[in-house]
Amino acid sequence: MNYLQLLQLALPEAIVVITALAVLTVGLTRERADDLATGIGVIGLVAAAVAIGRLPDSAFLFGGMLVVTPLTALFKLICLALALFTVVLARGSGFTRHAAEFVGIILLATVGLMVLVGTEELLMIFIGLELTGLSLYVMTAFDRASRSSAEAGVKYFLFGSVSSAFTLFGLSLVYGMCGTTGLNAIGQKIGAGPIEPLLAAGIVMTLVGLAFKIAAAPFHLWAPEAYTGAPVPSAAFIASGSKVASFVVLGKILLVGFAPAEGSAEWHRVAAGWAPLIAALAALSIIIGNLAALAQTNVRRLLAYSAVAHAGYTLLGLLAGGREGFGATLFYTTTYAFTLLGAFGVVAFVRRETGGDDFAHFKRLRRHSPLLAGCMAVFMLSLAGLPPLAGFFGKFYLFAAALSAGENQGLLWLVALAFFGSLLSLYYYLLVLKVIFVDDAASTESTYAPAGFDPLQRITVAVLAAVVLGLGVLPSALLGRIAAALP
Amino acid sequence: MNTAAFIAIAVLTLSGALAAATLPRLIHAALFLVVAFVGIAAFYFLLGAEFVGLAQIFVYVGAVAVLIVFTILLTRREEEQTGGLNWGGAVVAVAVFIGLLWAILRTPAVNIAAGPIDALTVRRIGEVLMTDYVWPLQCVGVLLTAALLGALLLVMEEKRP
Repeated sequence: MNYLQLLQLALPEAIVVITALAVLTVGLTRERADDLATGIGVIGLVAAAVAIGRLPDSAFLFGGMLVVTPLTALFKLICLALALFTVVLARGSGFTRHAAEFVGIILLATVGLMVLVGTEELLMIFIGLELTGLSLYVMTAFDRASRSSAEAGVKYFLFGSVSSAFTLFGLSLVYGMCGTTGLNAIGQKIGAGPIEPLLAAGIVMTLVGLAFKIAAAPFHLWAPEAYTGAPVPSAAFIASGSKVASFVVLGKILLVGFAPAEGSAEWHRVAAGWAPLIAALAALSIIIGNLAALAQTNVRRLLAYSAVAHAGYTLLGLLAGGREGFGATLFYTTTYAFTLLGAFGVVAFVRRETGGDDFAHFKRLRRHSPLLAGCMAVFMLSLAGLPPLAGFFGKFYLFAAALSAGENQGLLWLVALAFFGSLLSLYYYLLVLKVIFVDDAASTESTYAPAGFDPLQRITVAVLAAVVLGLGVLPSALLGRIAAALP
Repeated sequence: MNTAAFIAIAVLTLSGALAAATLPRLIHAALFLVVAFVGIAAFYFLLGAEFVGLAQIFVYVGAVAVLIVFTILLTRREEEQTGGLNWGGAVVAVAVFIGLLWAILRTPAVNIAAGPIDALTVRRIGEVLMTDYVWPLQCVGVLLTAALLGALLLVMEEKRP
C-alpha cells in the first residue's frame, strides 16, 4: 500500500470532502450564496459519481477498512444520487440564512454514508456511523427559528448517542472475543468454535444499536419527532440515505461477520442466535408501525410510523439470508429511499405554500399542482405495495426470499404478518390520497401562496416518481445489478 | 500489590460514577465525573497502557471535564430541580449489569491469561497511525470537522433579515 493507491481508491470520498469545503468557503465569502452553493454541490456529487466509475473492479485495503467491489460502487452511487436530490430539493427552502453551510453538512453526511457502504471492518463502521450521525443531528436542529426543530434535534441526538454507545460497547466485546475487527476474520473466528456468552452479549448490543439507526421497534421513538420537527430536506435525507447505508452495513455485519451465529427464527424450531432477535424486531416493527400510522393526521408523522413498518419488512430479507435475501433487502431499501425522498419533496412543496403538513394542508394540492399531486399518488401507492410500482416488486422479492429460505416455509408466520401489515397500510396511504383527490372540492379557502418550487425542483420530484414507476415496470434494471454485484 | 491497587481504583471509580449519576446538583455531579475519569486513567496505567492513560487524563480530565463545568456555569439560569431516582432507568441498568455479569462469569475464554506483548511506544503508535490506520485517521479528521462545523452552526446567532 502506498498513499497514492489510497488516494486513488478513496478519490470519490475525497472529492465530496473537497466539495464540502468549497461550499463552506463560498458560504463564508458571499452574502447570498444559495444558488452558487447548490451548483457547486451538484457538480461535486456528479464528479464523485464519475470517479466511482473509474475505480478498479476490486480492491481490499487495510484488512477490509476500505473495500472496493461492484456492490460498494453501486451503493456509493445510490448514496450520491440521494444526496443530489436532497441538495436540489433543499434549495430556497428559506428556513435558514446559512444555506451554503446546510449543503456542506449534507455533503459531509454523504461522506459518512460512503464510508459506511465501503467498509467491512468494525472500526470504520463505527466512524462512518458517527460521521453520518453527527451531521444528521445538526441537520435536524438546523432550523433555529423553530422550537420543534431544536426539540427534535435534542431527542435525535440523545437517542442516537446512546445507541452509538451500545454499538461501540458491543463492537468492543466482539473485538475482545475474536481478536480482530475485520468482518471476514470475525466470521471465521465465530464459526470455529461454540458461541460464548460474552460474544453473544456483544452481538446483541451491536444489533440493539443498529436497530436504533434503522428505527426498528421498540427502538423507534426518535423517528416521529425527527421526521416531524426537522426541516423537510433533513428529514428526507434521514429517511432515505441514512436508512440505505444502515441496511447495507447491517446486512454485511449479520451475513458476513455474524453468519455462523445465525440460529433460526423458523416456527417450531427456533434456535438461539441473532435470527430470533431480528425476527422479533421485524414483527414488533410491522405491528407497532402500522397500528400507530393508522391514527396519524399529519403526513410526516404518518411517514415516520410507516417507516418503522417498512424497516420491519426489510429485515425479512436479512432473515432469509443468502444472496437472494440480501439482494431483496438491498433492492427494497433502495426503492423505498427514492420513494420517501419524493414524498418528502411533495411535503416540502405543500409546506412552503401553506406553512404546514397536516392532512388539511394537502386539500388543495391537486388544484394547485396536478403534477405533484400525481407524483404523490405514485409514491403513496408504491409505499402501499401496489403493482406496477417499485414497492410491489420490492415486497414481492422480500416475501418470496423469506418463504423459500429454509425448509417447510418456516418463516411463513412472519411473511403472513408482513402481508397483513401491508394490507393495513393500504388504508392509511389511501387516506392521504383521499385528502388530495376527493376532499379537494370541500375546501374553499385559498391559503396557497405562490412561493413554491422552481421548475427544477418540480422536475426533480417528477424524476423521482419516474424512477419509482420505472423500477416497478423494469425491476431487473436495479435487481440485476445488485444480483451481479453480490459475491 | 496489583490486586490491592485494582480494588482501590475500582472503589474510587465506581463511587465517583455512582455519585455523578445520583447527586442532585449538576456541578457536584460533574466534579465526581472527573473522579471517575481519573479512576479509569489509573486503570490504564495499571494495565501498562501509559499512552492511553495520559490521553485519558489530557482529554477527559483536562478538556472534557472543564468544558462540562463551563457549560454548566454559563447556561444555568435557575436552581436545578432535584429530580428523584429514575426507577425505569435503574431497572434497565441493573438488568444490563446482571446480564453482562452472567455473560462474563459463564465465558471460559475470559480466564485465559493474555500473552506478553511488547511495550507500546508512542513512536509505534505514530507509525501505525500513518500506515495501517491512515484511512481511519483521515475519516476521524472529517468527523471532527463535521462536529466542529455543526457545533458552530448550532450556537451561531441567526440574524433575521
